[in-house]
Amino acid sequence: MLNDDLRAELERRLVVIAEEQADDPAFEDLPRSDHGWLLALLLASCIAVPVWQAL
Amino acid sequence: MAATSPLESCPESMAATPASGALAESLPLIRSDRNWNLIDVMCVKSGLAIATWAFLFGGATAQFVGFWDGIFAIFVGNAIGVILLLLAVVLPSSKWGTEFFVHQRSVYGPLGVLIFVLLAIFLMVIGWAALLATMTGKAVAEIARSSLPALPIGGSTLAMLVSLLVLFVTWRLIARGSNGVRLLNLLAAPALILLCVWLMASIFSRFSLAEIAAAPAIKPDPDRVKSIMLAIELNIASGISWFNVAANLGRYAKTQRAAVWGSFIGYVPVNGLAYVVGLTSALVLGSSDPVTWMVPIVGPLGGVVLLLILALANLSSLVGMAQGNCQTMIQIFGPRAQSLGWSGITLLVLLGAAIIVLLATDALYDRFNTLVAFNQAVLAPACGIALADRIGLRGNRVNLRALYENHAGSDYYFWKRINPGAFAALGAGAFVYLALLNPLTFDSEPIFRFVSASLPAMGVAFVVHFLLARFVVMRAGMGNYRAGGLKNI
Repeated sequence: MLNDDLRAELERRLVVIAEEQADDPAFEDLPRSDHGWLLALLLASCIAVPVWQAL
Repeated sequence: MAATSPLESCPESMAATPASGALAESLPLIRSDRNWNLIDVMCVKSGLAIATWAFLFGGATAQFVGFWDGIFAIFVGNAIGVILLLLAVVLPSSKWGTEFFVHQRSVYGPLGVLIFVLLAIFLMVIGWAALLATMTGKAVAEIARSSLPALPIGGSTLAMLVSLLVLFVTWRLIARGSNGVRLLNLLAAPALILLCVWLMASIFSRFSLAEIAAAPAIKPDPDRVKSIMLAIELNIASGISWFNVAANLGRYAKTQRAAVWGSFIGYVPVNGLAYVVGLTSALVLGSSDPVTWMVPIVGPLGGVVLLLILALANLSSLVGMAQGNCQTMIQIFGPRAQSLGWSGITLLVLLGAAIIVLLATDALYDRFNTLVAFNQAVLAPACGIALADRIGLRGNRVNLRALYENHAGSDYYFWKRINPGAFAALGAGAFVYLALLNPLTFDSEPIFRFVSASLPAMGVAFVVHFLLARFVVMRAGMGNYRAGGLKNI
């Protein structure tokens, strides 16, 4: 899928990414509170639909 | 903002042509490549969102519901679609920095992704390209009709000829990869904002809020509950239709938080305001076609200026969409696409669009909602599958190196490079969508009024993919699902 140049560049990047992950195991995961906000917004939107339809 | 791409840190030979540059773009980003903060992401996504699609979706919403129901459907529908999209596709691309379809090799297999792109994305891109070219053609024909009433050529013939010319100009712009594309986008974005403000000011100078709120929907269903759900379904589809574009732009964010909230703000409140312009214009003039609004709303001279802006914006959207998706195809098809060359693959896509313009342009333009619904019958299940795979099965882990391997025994080889389980889930989800909502007639099952078609389709695809992976694929030792939770690289 990749030619030799790109394969070599991929390997270089994988080394860099491994080092970045070693520094930060969570690797910039989205904080739980943000997940919570997203799910709360989703739930509120879904609940709002039947309420609006009933108005 | 200065977006760094992998090209900038790759050897020059890799980016010598647009095709090889596109292949280099498929590599995972490292932290130094990611330099967009929340404001940057928000601006990029807002700029992309305030485009001609906004008028089309706003006008299409007006087919089903009036002003207040339309505003509700626009913001709530887009919020539902965009949040699901963020969880399913933006977060993994942002976390791993991989091009979206490269990441999806872990779901469908390397050949499976190619089939998915060819059958779903390729056909949709051709359809969207034909639609935008047709709208540009109609805008120019309307300008000609207003300015030169004695023109000897018929309006529909002129519109078709201009549409074909637009596709040719798009091909030349993309094939050159010139600065012209960048300049075109720089002009189009502020021009579209001007167009929105001008249209809104003209509408509110002629109609009171009470008149706008009382304007009936264009073709509502007699059942108000169903009409509202149809409008919400359309706007869920609008949110999800950003699909690979949202994921690939999210890669450049410094953090997942910036990618998520920047995308949400750009795609929901900002995008929603532009939809409201389309909704309002369509309601007060009784047509969902933006080309027909301009002259009646702002008068002949202003109308011609606005139509010119619309034509420019369509060209800009067409160029941006075709360029991005042609890059995706080169990344997925690899050396096979490279042998066609950048000009060749862009020509292939735009020739497909030209065939639609020649044979089915009116059918496609008049059936915008149908195009969106068929699009959604594939993308909603694809989101469910992506969610099941990332959260339910792999615990948010992926073997990055294996995404670029194609040989028997590699982690994502599955069965002859295809994961049939993912395709079975995609088929099941699409079947549920089409069973609940007929995209041609918009007839629906009674339960659609309460649950939409997208959410059940997504849920069924989630469950089918999870069960097949858990009890068939994992037992066969395929897909690296067991190890997926233990290593990242």
